[in-house]
Amino acid sequence: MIDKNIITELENIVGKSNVLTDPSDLMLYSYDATQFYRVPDLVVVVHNSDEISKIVKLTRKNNVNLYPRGSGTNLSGGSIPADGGIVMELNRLNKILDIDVQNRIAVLEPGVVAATLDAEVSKKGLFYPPDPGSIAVATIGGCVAEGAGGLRALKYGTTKDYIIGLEVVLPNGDILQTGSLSTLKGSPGFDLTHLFVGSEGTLGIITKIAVKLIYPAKARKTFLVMYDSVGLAGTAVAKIIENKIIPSTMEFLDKITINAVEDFKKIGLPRDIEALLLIEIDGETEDVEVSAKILEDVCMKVGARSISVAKNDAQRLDLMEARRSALPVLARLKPTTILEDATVPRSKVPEMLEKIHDIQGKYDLMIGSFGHAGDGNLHPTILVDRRNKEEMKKVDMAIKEIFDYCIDLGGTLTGEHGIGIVKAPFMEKEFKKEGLSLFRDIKKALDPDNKLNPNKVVGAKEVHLDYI
Amino acid sequence: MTTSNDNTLPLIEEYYEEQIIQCMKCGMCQSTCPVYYEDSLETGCARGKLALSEALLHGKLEPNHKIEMIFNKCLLCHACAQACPVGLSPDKVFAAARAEMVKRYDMPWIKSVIYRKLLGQGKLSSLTGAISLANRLKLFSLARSLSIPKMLGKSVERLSFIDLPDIPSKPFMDRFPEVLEPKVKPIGTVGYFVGCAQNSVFQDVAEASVNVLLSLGYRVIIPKGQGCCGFPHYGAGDFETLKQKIAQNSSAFKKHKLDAIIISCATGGSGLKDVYPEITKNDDITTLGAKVYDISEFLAQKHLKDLKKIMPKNTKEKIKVTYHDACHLNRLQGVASQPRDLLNIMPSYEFVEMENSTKCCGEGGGFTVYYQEISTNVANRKRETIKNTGAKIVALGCPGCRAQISGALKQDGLNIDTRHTVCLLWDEIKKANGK
Repeated sequence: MIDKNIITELENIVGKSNVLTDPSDLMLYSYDATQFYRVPDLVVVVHNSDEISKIVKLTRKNNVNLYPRGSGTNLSGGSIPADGGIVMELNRLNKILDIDVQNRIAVLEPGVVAATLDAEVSKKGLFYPPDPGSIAVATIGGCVAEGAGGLRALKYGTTKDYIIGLEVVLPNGDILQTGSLSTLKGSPGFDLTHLFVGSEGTLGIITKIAVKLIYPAKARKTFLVMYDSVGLAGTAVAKIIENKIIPSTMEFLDKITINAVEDFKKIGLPRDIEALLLIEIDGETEDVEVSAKILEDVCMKVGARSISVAKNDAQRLDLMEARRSALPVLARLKPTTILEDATVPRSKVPEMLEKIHDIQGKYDLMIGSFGHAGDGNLHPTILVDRRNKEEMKKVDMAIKEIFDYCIDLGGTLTGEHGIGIVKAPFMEKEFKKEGLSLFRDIKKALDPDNKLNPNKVVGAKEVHLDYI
Repeated sequence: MTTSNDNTLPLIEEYYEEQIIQCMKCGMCQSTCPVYYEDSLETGCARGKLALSEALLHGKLEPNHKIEMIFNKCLLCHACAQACPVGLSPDKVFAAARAEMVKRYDMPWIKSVIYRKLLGQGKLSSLTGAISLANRLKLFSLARSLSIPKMLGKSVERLSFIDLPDIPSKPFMDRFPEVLEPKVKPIGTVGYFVGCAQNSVFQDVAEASVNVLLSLGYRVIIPKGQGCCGFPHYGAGDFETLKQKIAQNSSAFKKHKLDAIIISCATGGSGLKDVYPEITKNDDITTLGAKVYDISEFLAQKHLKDLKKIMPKNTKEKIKVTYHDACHLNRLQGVASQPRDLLNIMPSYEFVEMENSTKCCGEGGGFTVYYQEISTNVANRKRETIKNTGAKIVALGCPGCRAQISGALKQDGLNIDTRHTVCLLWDEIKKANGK
C-alpha cells in the first residue's frame, strides 16, 4: 500500500490522470513477456526527466521501491515489480530529438519504439542495425537497458555497440549525462555510458539516448541451407567464418522447429532434415557476388543436402519465412511458451544442442531450438501448459541444467535478453563470488537503499514469482 | 475473493479460455492497435485485456464497471489478431467479455433503446422519415452549431459528428419489391441482405447494389422477413438479441432458393461470415442457405470481365479516388484486392492508394461514444492520409466508416466525397447507358 500523502505528491508532479491505483489498471502492469507477474501498488506515467527526478527523490525518501518500464516486452522479468512498489511507465518519452546526418548520430528519448527509429533514420539514408524480435513494439530505452540483440548481431553487433551517450536520472535524483551526445569518439575517464547499458534499470533511469548510425549495405544475398545433422550445420557455420565471410545473418532451426513450421505453414521443407541455416550476406555488390560463390562452395563441401538462393526480394521473403515463423509456430504447439537465451562459443553449438536434446528426453518436455548460430546464441523454447504445476517444476529443473551446461561450455546466461529476476540466481555461477560481489558493490554505490528495480541482476534477495 | 456463482464467467470460459491462456504477453499487439497508438496505456492493447480476462476467469479480480469500461475500450478492428504471433483473435474474447458484463449489469437505458428497440426490433427503419426530414431541413448541422448535442450528452453529441447523405422518406425495403427480375433471362438468383444502415440512411448503397446485380442479369430477392444482422449486438455484448437475429435472418433467407447472398455492408458481412459461425458452430450455407459474399467480392471475383464491357467509353477527365479498407471488410473478410479491381476498371476515375489504408477509422459502435476523444483522434489521422492523396472521393465499403470519415472530412471543411465502391460502379454503368 502506498501512503495517501505520497499519492497526493505524485499527483502534484504528474497530474491526477497519470497516477493509476485501480486494481484492474495495476493488474496490467504486473507482467512482462516472461509471463511471471506481481501486481504493483501504483503505476505512475511520466513525461520528462524533471518529473522522473522528483519521483525518484520522493520514493527514496519514503522508502518505496521503483520499477522503470517501457513496453513491457522484455524476457527477463526485469520490468516486473517483483518486490512491490511503484511502476514508472516511460513510454510517453517518445520523441526523436535529432537525427544528425552529417555526424551520423541520432538523439532520442527512451520511449521511442525501435522500429520507429529504424524507419526514421532510413528515410535519411542511414541505418540502425540492432533488430530484436520485438522491434515493432520494444522501446529503445528497454533495448539499451536489457542489451537487446537481434538477427544482425554477428556482423553488426548489438545495441551496446551503438550507444555513445546517455542522460540518466540517478537513484539520488541527480540528472547525469554520460559519454557524448554529439561526438563518436571519446575516452574521458570511466566508460559510464556502458555502465548503464545493460543495467536493466537497477542503477538509474535512462531519459535520453545518443546512438551512432551507419550506412546501409548496397547489396545482399540470402540462402537457405539444409543439413542431415546438427554437427554438419555447426561445421558449416565455422567453415564459412574461417573463409573470412561474416554473414549479416546466420540463423539456425532444429528439427522440432522445422516440423512445426511445416505443420502450420506448409512451405515445403523436408521433415527429415536435422538442421536448417538461413544465411544472409551483405555489402558492396561485387563483394557480395564473390562471397556468395565461396559460401555456396563451403556449404556444399561440408555436406549440405541442398541449398536455395533467393533471386529477388519476393524469393528472399520466402526463404526467410521459416526463420520468421519459428517462434510463432512453436508457440502454437502448447498453451505456454518459455523462450530461453543460452549463449555458447560458436564452436560449441552442436554440443549445446545435444545437451538440450538430452534434457528434453530426461524431463519429457517439448523443446524446440532456433537462434543465432553465428553468435552461438540459441533460443531453446520450452513448450508447456502453465496450468500444469508438475510440468512447470520440470521446466525449472530443465532451465537450471541448460544454464549450468551452457556456463560449463564457456558460455553466458544471456545473449540478448538480460538477467532481470529470472536469471539472477545463476549469476554467481557465471561470475563467481568475486564478480557478483563487485556487481553488488556497484549497485550499492549508486543505490545504497536498494530502491531502484531492487533484486534484479544482482539478486540481493530471492523473490518468488508466479506465472500469471 | 468470493466464490459465488455470480462470479463464474461461462461465456469467456466456454468460447475462449484456450485463447486467453495462449497469450504469451509478448506485446506485439501494441504495434497495430489504433487505440494503444493514441494513449499508450496497457488498457488499450489486447495483451492487457487478455490479462484482465484471465484475472477475472481465475478470480484474481472481480467484475466491476471499471473493468466493463476497459473491455469497451476496443474498436473490434481485429488488427491485434493480425499482429499476434500465436494467431489469437482477442477481439472475440472481448465481445464475450462484454456479454458477461451485460448479463451482470444489463445495459444503460440509452444503449438498450438503440440496440434492442431501434436495431433489435427494426424500429430504425420506421424512423427513416423523421431522419430524412431532419436531414433535409439541416437540423443536424443546426443542432451542431448551437452545441445542443453537447448539452444532451455523449450519445447525441456523437450523432452530430457524422455526416449524412440525402435520405428518402421511406425505408429501402418499403420502396423495393421482394423479387426483382432482370431484363434478360436470369443467369441466377441472389439474395440481398440489406442491413439497417442501407435500409434507412445509406439507401444509395442498397439501390446501387441491386441495380448492378440486375444489370448483370441476376434475379434479386430481398427477403421481407430479414432484419438487423446482429453485429451491433455482438459488439455491445447483447448475445441474446444476436441469437434472435440469427434465427430471424436464417428463416427469412432459407425461404428462397438462392445461388448466393450478397451484402454491401462490411460489418454486416463479417457478422454473417464470422460471427454467425462462431455462435451457431455452422457455416453460412447451413445457417442462411447460401454462401455469403460482400458485393465487391462477388462482382470482382465473378464478373470483372462482364463489368468491363458495360463501362462508359470516352471519359474526358479522370477524378482521383482513393480507397479506405474497412477493418470488417479487409481483416475480417479478407476483401482487399476486389474493391481495388473494381475501381481500376472504372474509366472515370484514377485510383490512388492512401498511406495506411488498412488503419481503422476509429468508428467502433459503442466505443465511439465511450471513448470519443480517441475515436476522433483516430479519425483525424485517417483524414490526413486521405487529404495527402489529393483525391476528390474516398471509396469504401462500410456505412460505419462512411459516417465517421465523412464527419471527419466535413469538420475540417474538406470537400471530399465518401462513396461506397458499388455506388461509383453504378454511376459508371448509368453513364455508359447515357443516363
